[in-house]
Amino acid sequence: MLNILTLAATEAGEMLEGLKAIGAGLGYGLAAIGPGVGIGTVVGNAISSMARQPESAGMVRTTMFLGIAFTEALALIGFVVFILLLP
Amino acid sequence: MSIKQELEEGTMETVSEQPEKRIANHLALRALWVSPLFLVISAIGWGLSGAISSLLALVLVVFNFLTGAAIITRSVKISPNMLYGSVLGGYVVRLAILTGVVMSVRSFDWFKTVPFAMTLLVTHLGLLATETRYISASLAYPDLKPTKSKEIR
Repeated sequence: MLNILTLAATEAGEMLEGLKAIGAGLGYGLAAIGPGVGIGTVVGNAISSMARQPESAGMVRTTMFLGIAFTEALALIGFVVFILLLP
Repeated sequence: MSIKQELEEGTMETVSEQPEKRIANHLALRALWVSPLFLVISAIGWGLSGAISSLLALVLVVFNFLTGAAIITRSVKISPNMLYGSVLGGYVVRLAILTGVVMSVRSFDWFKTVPFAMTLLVTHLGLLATETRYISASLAYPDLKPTKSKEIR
């Protein structure tokens, strides 16, 4: 009886670890979607601006680079949560 | 004076052709300046392991900035479609590299999660926030604000 209880407790612990890993992976994946959409919007609008006003391409690229980097910070937050949650 | 002569004598402005590269280099230099602070804080809190983890985070942040800028610089010369595709693809690849590096070192004893995470986030956001103070983003100076040496030119 004691053996069965020990086995059940061990398996429950392993299952919890597994669920934690799945949750962390799902969280990271979901956190990466938002910045992906954001970067797409930033780059799309930057290309549109460069096509309309080629003379301001340098300025637009500067803004685009910073916009991409700021948006990526969201994905990094998701990544940090992922490594902190990992068992 | 021909363009070649101007380029050779350094009187012609060429840096504006690659604004993102210039900003990324400036960010990398700033990261080098602030790195001792993070290393010392991590070393005090978590010892040598913390300092190494913090150093890894700094290297990854700088790598992220430089690679992002290099991708834009290369692809913008080809076509807008290439720029769009490579920026989005580069985002995925850079995240994959970051994840791969961390997943491969997290089993080592010297890897401490907390100083790594702290340095990664604070450096990335802090450097970007600080960099906005140095950005001019005007037609004459599309990247960084002009310095004295640049004004003389």
